Amino acid sequence: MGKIKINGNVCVGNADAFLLKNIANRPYGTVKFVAFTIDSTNTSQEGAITLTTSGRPVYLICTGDLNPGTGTDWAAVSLYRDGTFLKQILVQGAASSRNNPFAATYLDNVAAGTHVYKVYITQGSGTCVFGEDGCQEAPTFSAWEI
Amino acid sequence: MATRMIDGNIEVDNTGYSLHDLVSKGYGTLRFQPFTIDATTTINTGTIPITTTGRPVFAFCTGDLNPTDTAWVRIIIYRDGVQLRGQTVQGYATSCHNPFSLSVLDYPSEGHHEYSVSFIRGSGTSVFGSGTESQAIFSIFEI
Repeated sequence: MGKIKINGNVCVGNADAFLLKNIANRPYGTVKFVAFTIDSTNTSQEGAITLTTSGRPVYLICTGDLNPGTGTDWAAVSLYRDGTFLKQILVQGAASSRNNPFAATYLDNVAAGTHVYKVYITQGSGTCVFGEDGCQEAPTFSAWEI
Repeated sequence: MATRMIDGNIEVDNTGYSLHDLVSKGYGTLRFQPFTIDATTTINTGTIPITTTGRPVFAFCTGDLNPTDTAWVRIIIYRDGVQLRGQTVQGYATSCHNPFSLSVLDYPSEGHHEYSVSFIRGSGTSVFGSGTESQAIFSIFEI
């Protein structure tokens, strides 16, 4: 058995019950990309997560590694909420087949409601492979209300 | 101010959201000692046990690879021996450090689990942790 020490007032009623429910059920989502290539034919890849939040901030993180095909190829990793740009990083290879990991993160202070978070991985130049060793090595995109 | 002691858990509404669960989410972190992956030591693995309440677990590993020439390493995160996600890190010239960040949000069932990360040699010699302040870190926590 545990103990809770209360210094002050605690109200347990319907409203607080819903609050506790919100805390216990803070939403989350993840996109595990399958391996893909960004090049002049396929210039962009996107992943989306829909969250219905209670008003707390949402943490976003997209990680992976870029395997450049031909040289100093590069790509942009961009985070959006409801179509609004939040954050971008650029990832570039030093030479062909020199895998370069990346992490794009953002803590979004957003109003309660339903929001669609997206990551776009778009071509800068050349050929960029995401998932050289197959789908288990493709990028992941995760989001949750903290 | 009055102090009132409650012996036990508080659960609110029929579905029983537990305060105990909320304040007892599992977590763990592992700071690797500096190590080298080469022809002699081809793999290094670190493991963190965790007991979860049923919420997802975020696992991430960060650090930097200090290569000899174009050495490369594959980094893989596992849960209970099952591969979750991997990443390849490669140098492009000797001593040109390449940082890495590997993450996964995992949805395991409630209970005890073991998360591990392995650094597996691809080729060459790769140093992780050139000093006492740049070791690889592996952390997990229930969100």
